Amino acid sequence: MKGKWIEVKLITSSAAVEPISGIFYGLDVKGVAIEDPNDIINRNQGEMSWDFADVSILEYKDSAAVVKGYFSQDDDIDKIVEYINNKIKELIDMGIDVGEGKIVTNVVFEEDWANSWKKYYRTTKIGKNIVIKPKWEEYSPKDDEIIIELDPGMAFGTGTHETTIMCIELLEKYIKEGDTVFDIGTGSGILSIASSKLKAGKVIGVDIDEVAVDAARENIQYNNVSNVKIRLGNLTDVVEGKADVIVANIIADIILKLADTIKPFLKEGGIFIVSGIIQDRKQDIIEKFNKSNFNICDIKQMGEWVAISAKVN
Amino acid sequence: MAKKVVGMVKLQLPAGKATPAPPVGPALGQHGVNIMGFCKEFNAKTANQAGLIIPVVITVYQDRSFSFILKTPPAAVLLKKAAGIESGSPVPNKQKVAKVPLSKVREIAELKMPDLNAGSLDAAISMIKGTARSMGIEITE
Repeated sequence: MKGKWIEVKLITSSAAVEPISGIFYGLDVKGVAIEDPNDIINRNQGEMSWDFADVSILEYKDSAAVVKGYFSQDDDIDKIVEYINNKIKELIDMGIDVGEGKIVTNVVFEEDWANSWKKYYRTTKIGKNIVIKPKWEEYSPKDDEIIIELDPGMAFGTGTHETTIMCIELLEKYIKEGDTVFDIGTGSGILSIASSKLKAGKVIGVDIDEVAVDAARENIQYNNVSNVKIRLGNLTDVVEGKADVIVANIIADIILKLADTIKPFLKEGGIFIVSGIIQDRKQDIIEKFNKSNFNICDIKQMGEWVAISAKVN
Repeated sequence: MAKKVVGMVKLQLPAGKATPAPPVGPALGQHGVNIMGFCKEFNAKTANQAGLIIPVVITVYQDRSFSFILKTPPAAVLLKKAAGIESGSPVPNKQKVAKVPLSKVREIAELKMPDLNAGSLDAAISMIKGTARSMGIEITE
């Protein structure tokens, strides 16, 4: 995913958004982006609405809808544009109002979107004593605050998400000095680093996403935590031994599977902390844990997200 | 004090499989949204619809927080499913690849009505018909 992409933008009308996105699906796109002024115009809103939107936020205001598809720089863009132009002519022949029907192509660079959100990311205190500080900000710790320095890149775990906060709170509660901790789906490495700073003796973070593994390794260096190792792959394939604490902030379906396979990796009396569970799936996890002989210790909820900790019976 | 909306974008993405690659990255990055944060929430909410393309309307607020609403799958995807075909016709004017009864088109229009920005069911039906025609799907009475 590194590098640049070609954005093919079709300026059209609200009425043609469906068939135009159909054209893109005839090409090999992973999805399309649509800006449709009717999405804003048709919202229920007045001056007193909680959230107020105005068509002026759209590039073409209320004059046109836009459908965008993205292609690799190796694709033959001239051919793609020709294909789309032919398809537009067919739509016009069929009497569909395609509006302007104009195609604009742009080169977009990954570094532009990968970095633009950083300017809104600030130092935040989470849990009892942990402060998450973006690498590019200055901060002096107060009292016994523990600072974690992060550059999350595009991997998950900026420290501001509810699931991360709940996991940190549970790690603060359960990690004892010298413990071994496994972090499944480490993302930016935030939970592995937090574990180390909470005085764990040995921490192993795993992730199946290479982007995450790279980001996690960089973040470990910024934080000078030499007892954290990051590995690429599934826990069951790349880790041996047993942990006192295993944390998995992923999604409900993966946690259901882990409930069957994780026990050989937990020491007797060890604790399993799971999050990334959307509240609709909370009951599924509780039932699965009960069935798999886990003793549930904590159930936390923040916003729409749930975190659970459990011990092996 | 109203929460001001600074961006609104609709994406159509494979259920449970959003990644920071386009279209997600460029669409959200320009509005200052934490891209992976969005992917994680989208994937968690759509994991049970694997295999379908799900449209999602994302609203971005001034503080760069966001909310999103999931919509019904695109007409083209529903039509392909109804017609039992993998892809549309390369030359829809000349070569028809499948037939779908008007009753089915009506059903899709009703399902998609809340998401279509159509003023009436008839307008929604004609949008679905247009999509069908552009794919080389013939509509039978």
